[in-house]
Amino acid sequence: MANTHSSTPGQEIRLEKLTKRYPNQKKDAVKEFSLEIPAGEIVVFVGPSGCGKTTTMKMINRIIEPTSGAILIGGKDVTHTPAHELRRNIGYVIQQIGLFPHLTIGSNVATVPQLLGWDKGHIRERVDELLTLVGLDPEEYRGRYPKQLSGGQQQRVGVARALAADPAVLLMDEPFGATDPITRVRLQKEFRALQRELKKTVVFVTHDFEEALLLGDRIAVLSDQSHVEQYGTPLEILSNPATDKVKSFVGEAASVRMLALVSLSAIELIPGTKDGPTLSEDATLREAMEKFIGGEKVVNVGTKGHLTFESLQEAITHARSKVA
Amino acid sequence: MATVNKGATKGSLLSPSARLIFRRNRSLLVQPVLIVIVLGLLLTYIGNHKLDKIEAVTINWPFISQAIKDHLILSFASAAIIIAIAIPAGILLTRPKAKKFTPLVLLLANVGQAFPAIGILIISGILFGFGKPIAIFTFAAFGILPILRNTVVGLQEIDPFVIESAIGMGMTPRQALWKIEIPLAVPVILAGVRTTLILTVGVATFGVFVNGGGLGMLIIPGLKLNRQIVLLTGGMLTVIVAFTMDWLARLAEEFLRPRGI
Repeated sequence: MANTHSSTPGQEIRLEKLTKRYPNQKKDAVKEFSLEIPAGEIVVFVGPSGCGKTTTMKMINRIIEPTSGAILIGGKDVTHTPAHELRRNIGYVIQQIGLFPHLTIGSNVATVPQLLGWDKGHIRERVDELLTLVGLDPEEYRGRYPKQLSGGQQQRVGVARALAADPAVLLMDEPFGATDPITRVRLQKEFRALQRELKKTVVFVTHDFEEALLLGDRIAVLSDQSHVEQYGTPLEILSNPATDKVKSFVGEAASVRMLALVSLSAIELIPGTKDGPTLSEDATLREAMEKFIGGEKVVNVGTKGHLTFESLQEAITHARSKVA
Repeated sequence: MATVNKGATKGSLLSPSARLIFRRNRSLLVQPVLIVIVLGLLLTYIGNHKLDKIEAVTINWPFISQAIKDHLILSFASAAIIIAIAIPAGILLTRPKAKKFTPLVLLLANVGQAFPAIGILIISGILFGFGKPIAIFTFAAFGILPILRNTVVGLQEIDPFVIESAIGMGMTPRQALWKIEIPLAVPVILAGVRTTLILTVGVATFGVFVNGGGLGMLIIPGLKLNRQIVLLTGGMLTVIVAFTMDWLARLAEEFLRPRGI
């Protein structure tokens, strides 16, 4: 997962009153959707199926042309630039992956660089670099065809292909939705690690709230016609759902989920270490809680200090009040 | 052991990818053998038969070779016209702007095939004059359906998400067509080409009715003059030509099929 290439950082996306109405439809599919997506963040559109989240995302690269409204990327209005030029600078990953079955993995990844007219040597280098980046050995996979790969491997290629020309913006439509649960979690974690390095601006669509919590720097909870019910960090949404719709989407287990979002480095510890298991500072409150549920009396955090069940409870109350 | 030896001798003549294709598809090796056997049987039959005067008019090499040559001209020329019209038309019919005409055009092509070829041929001959060209154009109208339909279906069958990802990455519709859609439709289109070739080889036997030549030159006199050997030679040669075309087209299908699919 090493990245030697200097990568283009993300750009801010601003969507202004984006509206989509299909012919012969009484209602807008997406109605006056406005949102600012900060540069370098993952913003997750989450909502029930049919709420318009995918339509909204597909208007950003104009796979679906908006009926009205404006799209600004890095401050530049791209609502009317030629669509194919716009799309070459936006990575695009879909659930069905859509690899070209008649082309090798290498050629698939090389698609956009070829469209942009890069020279052959540069493309070859870039393909190998990207395959390495997504954890596929170039020597082994470059010459294979998509059908010779598992679903998880195919989606890694999908991500590599989207990143090939180093776009500032990445659109992902339920990219891990079709993989089995174990592969999905692995891909999610890898993607999160990758994004920490690349700092692209990512618009990520999912109907899976867990996935939104795991990946999103911010989450936009959408309801019918892509209406924004709430837009905020995962912690804000969990601890302070803005509307009843958000509340029902967040569900009952909100506080338990929140534990998984706060790391042990963020809370106050009792100085000194004691006899008991040790967690790293990157571990979450949830992992500490699991130790206590498992019967431990004390949990050490690195060498900085330790927690008791009572001090953990206090920290949880404190964390909750901080965001509320 | 025998198969290993056979593979080894073949291997010295063929490239590795060709060897792979023959290994995967053994019937590609069987078909030419069958063709040669049938041809051998036919030649043996003719060789052991004492030709009478009437038979000797047709059963001689100059006459037969001319008939085969004419037959090939009729079939290939009409197939070439069909390919030149049907593939572009099929592509056009799957583009958004022309999509609505697809059912109508397929209907017309169906009608073209449903009409009795021989009737149309005679009528065209009377209207436009006899000879090879009129035969070729009539056969072309008759055999357009398989390629047209297969081109349309081959393009329609492509996973829409493959095309969406091509467009989503910034290909223009034209680039997506040439780089993605057509290569993916090639196997289906070639299957249509094969059907059409066999079809045109079959109907080319009617060429004789409009003075177009072909193996009908043996079949029709054979029937009229009640000479079984003439009839049989014409019929068998038609079958052999059709089988050879089929084999060549299958080879083309195997070699032109994109590797990943």
